Amino acid sequence: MSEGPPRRRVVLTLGTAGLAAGGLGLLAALARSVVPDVLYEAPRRFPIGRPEDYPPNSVTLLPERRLFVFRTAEGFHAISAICTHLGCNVNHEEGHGFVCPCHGSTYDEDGDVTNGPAAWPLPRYAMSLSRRGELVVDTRRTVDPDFRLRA
Amino acid sequence: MTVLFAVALAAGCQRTPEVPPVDAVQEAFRDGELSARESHGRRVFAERCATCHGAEGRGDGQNAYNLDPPPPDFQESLDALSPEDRRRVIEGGTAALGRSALCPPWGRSLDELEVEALLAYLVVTSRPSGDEEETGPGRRRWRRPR
Amino acid sequence: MAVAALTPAGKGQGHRRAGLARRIPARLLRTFAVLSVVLLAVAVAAVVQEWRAEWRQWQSRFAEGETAVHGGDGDTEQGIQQIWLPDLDRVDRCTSCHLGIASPEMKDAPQPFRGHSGPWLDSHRPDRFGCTACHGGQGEATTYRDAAHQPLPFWSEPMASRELMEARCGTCHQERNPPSTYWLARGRALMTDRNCVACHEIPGRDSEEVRAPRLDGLALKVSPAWLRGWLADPRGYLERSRMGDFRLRPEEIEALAAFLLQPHGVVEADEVDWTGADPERGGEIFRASRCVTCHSVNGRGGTLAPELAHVGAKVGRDWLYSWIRDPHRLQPDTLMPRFRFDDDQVRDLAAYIAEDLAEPKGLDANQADPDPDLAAEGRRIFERRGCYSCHELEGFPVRARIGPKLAGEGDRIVDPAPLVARGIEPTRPNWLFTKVSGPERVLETARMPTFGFAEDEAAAVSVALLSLRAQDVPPGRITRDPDRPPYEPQGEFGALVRRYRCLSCHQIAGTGGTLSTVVLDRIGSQLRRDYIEQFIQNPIAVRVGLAERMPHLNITAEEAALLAGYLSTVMVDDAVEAEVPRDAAAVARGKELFDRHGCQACHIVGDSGGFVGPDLNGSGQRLQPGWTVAWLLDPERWKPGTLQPDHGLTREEAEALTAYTLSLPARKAQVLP
Repeated sequence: MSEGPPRRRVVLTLGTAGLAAGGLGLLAALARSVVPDVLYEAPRRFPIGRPEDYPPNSVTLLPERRLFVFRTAEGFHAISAICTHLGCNVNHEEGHGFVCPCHGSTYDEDGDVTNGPAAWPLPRYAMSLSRRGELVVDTRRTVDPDFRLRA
Repeated sequence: MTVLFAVALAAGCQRTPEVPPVDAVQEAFRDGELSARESHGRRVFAERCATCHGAEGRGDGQNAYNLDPPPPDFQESLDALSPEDRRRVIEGGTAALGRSALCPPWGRSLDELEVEALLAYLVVTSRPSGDEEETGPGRRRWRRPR
Repeated sequence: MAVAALTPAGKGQGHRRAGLARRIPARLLRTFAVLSVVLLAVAVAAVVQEWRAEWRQWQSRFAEGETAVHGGDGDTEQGIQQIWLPDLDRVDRCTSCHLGIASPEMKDAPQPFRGHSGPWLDSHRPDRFGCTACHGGQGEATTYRDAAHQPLPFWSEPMASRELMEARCGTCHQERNPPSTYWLARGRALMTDRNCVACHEIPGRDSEEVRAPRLDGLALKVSPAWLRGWLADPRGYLERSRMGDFRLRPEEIEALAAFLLQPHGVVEADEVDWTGADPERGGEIFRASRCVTCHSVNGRGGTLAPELAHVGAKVGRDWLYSWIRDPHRLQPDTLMPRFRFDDDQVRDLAAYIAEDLAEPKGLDANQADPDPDLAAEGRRIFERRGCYSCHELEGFPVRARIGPKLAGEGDRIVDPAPLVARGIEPTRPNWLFTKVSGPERVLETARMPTFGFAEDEAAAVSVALLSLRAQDVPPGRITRDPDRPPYEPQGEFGALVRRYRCLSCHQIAGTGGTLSTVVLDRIGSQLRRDYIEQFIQNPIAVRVGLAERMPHLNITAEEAALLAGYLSTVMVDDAVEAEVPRDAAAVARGKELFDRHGCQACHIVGDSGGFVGPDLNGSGQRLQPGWTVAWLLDPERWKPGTLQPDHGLTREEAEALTAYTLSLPARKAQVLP
């Protein structure tokens, strides 16, 4: 700490550090702004009513959401009703899985393809229980076939 | 320059304080001093209750003298009834409180909003009328919250 | 971090750094440091601001509350919530803060978490209707202020008051008024009454009838003095005048009167011999026929037809004679029935009305032709002010609409100047209110007449006008009544219904007036045929307290039989059963129920009871048995807004009550078949 006055060094270091931190912060903000809070689209995460609205051992089609909701002894799970081939609504046939009426694609009970032309399985969406006791489906998150929500 | 400024300043200060503009249509909605809910209640009351209770709830409707016991004057009687009991009478009739069956149940005919409105208007009818208010110091008539 | 960079630096590095620090001029170095710190501050401020956003604070408050009530597990919505309604072009983010809006258990929570009041969300699911479609405000905003909870400068749609919200109901509910919309319903009724649709095209109301007298042969009908007075101030003569004040100057009135009193059309008055006219007998007929059911005299009486107190100053007895004898010849669209009077009765009645009520002055059908130039000027005024939009007159098109279309009136861009000058807030509702109260107040040269609305009436009309939006409502969201052509009674029955103008007061299949509380659609299931037949000939009031009573039309026995036969066989409702057990046990049980439910508060049985509902003595001779059961089980179904309370009876109880009421004998004094 001789004649190279420490004050100058402190100021320089402080300036550099401030520039770096501020710049990083603004970069982070910029990066954050790429991910919008909301989009002009239908909500991807939505409540579908209370567990007791769904009878035990039942399959319910929610036509507006294009979604099958299953209630089994193990719990709840939800499978998309949109055929991954060209987007028709698939039908559920008890014990045989799903059949698309448009081009005959078939899927098993877990939504995996058993017969083309569809190439990908029907997405299985994450479900949760809100604090108010409502079932919530999140179509932004897909889950494994063995996912079950206990409610 | 300074003179000009002073003149302008004086002119600016002399402007009479502005009267705030009125929201004319909102004033016109108001039924006297009643709120929207109270005037809704007043309409329901006029439709269903006034034949016996009288338009202001003074127990002087045109059918009142056919009734025994007669309908009460709400200014005197309403305070004795808790809000829950008032609702029970509106929905289940006076029989719901174990009194005579002359005031019928309206619970199946009125919807929730109408019952709420009626309850609000009942409070209005139970307040002292205008003449008494003028003699009573410091007592204000109901005002609509803005 | 800054400190870390400073201390562990190696020696050489430290020297280079020190060298750099020494080489840079002191001012530049200082500026650099200050700017860097400012940049850091901005970055920190941005993060803090984002983190402290209004909606985020409400969400954490809400989550705290929920944890307290429901425990810690489970998850809540986080982030900006929105309802996206592409067909309405709306994005409502209100639910970002109004987090409890759809939960009934939050009904008493403080705002912004309070659950929605009333039953509205059951029929208008938030995810289908959003918030601003009904409430107004700026849906995309996420702060209290920007959402326009309070009026916001330059935002034309702040959140609507409870009353103005009714206009928003009316945007989709175009024909039938939804329940609890008092102002909208009243405004629409007023618009119908004042014939708005005659001059303006109004979405959803274009098929409404226009009611105004035909002006052919006016010279035979009214006195010139009356006509001038009427044109100057219609409400001066008729308080409830449907015609507005056109604010005519005296010379315009002269010209218009001269034009109207020219002979138009082919109208001939009947020849009358006035010798032997007996006004006193006419007065008796006037009272016995119950003319005051529709007309008022000195303010007492009905509201359906004009006040008669000063009618003698308006029309002469010759015209009155022709009018009463056959109103439909002079005015094919009139509501007035053609009473079955003989010519002497008509003469006496006309003499009574013309003489007793007032003496006409200056009425002269054969007056010299008015000045043709003046009349030509009057014709121009008649055209310019669109008189023919309401009034038919020979040589003029029928119902030409001279006013602008009213679609989009609720989105009108208003000129604030006239409102500011009057000390009124220059909002759109206030502009419409001012215009409706007096068109000259916003535009001095307005052609629209002043209808003389009271303040609350003008406010109601403003609500109805505000419901007419510029943006087309998606067809799937408009509620309409099923297309139902107006009911046209056919055959002999139809001829009688038209002659006696039954539908001026009664309704059949949604067509007709509302003066009578008796809808005829199911009258055959309600009343016994012999009673209907007898009643039509000699209507007696069943409801003691009722002011409007059916007039004595002097219907003949044959006509009554025909009408009763038709009503009893055609106007029936299959939901009403024909027979009800009426044994002694049922009667006794009915009597007990009757007392327990306090029915005598409103109904007369024997000599005592209330005056609200029908007298029940002799019901058995009047009513079809099944009707009383159906009525007691669900009165609101048959007559919404009825004074008959729904006691929640079981069918067995309703049948017992029916058995009891039908067992009641007629009183001796009663005139019953």
